[in-house]
Amino acid sequence: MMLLIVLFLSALLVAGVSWIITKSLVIAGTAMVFSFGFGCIGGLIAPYVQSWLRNKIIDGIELTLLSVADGRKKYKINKQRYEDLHFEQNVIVFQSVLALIGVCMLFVTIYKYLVLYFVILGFFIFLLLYLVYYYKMIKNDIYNDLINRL
Amino acid sequence: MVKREEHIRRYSIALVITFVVSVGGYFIYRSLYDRIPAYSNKVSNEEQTKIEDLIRENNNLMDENNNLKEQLAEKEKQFQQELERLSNDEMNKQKEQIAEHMDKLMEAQKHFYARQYVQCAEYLETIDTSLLGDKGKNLYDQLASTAFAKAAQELYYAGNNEFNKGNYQNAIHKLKKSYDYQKTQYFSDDSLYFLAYAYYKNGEYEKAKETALKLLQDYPDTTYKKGANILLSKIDNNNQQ
Repeated sequence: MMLLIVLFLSALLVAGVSWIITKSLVIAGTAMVFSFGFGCIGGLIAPYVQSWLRNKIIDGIELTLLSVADGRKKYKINKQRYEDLHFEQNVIVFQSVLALIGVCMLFVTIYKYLVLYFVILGFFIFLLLYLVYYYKMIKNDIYNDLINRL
Repeated sequence: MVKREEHIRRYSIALVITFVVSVGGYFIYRSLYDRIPAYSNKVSNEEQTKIEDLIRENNNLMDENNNLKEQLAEKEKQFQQELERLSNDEMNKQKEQIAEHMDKLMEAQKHFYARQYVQCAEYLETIDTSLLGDKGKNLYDQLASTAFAKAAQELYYAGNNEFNKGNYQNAIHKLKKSYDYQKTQYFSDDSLYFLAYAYYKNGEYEKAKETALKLLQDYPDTTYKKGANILLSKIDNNNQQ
């Protein structure tokens, strides 16, 4: 719930800034809706992305352990144990970036600023780089946890 | 698992609410905009007069602009026509001038071959060489190099004869021309001396004085130095009397 409130407050901030820039309540309101809507989409995608990466890592580890045991013993890792691993962080990043992309898309539609296309592209590149970083981070944490429990 | 499902549920609800709010907001905005004419009229009434004034002013300015454009186009057309006419006139005039000067050159050549150097020189001195082409200029230079010297000599002798006969008016005319044609010949100072005397005899003392002074100034070694000084003193005496 806290994350949703943060998103709502961010959308309000976006609306305020938009109103200062454009002096139009309609555009400010639309910017808020876009920002909040895209943020929600980001917040919805984030858990699926996290679980996809997490499953990928755990499957990889299980395969490695199987090959170490020469296929004789199959190890099963409890996936639910790592369900909350950096969950909020992922959601915050996804919803923030998606919210900003939403606002940029709105302004691109209205004002046709070429630079905003590059800004949107920059956000997507940032998201991609973040995913790589996030993948490495949760992989490291899962390994550490498994080693500690040995 | 609970946390994750709860999160997705909340975000889904929020997204649906956002969608509903945005679509509803849009329709409410449209209906408010369309259905409350008082509001839109109120806004437009405040702005309407100003907008209408601005539109009227804009139309007036555009009309004025169009009128000015038309006037400008008309003036430009007139200017072009006038320019064309002037250039045609100028060209025709120039053509006429060239033809006239070429005729004079031909006449001068004709007189030159007939050894009538005075007439030849008279034609030559009226020719404007800037209107001639290269060939015309060459012909002019050829004629002028001989004709002016010969004409000056002839005129000097003729003027001297007239002077001796006492026809001072004719003598002045011929001697003056002789001096105008040639200023560096052996007889040029003679021409000036007799011209000064002819003026004196004709009663034109001021011109006589000017000519005598010119003789002393331009030809300091002239054999007529003494005669010129005597003439000047005579003129001074006449002036004093």
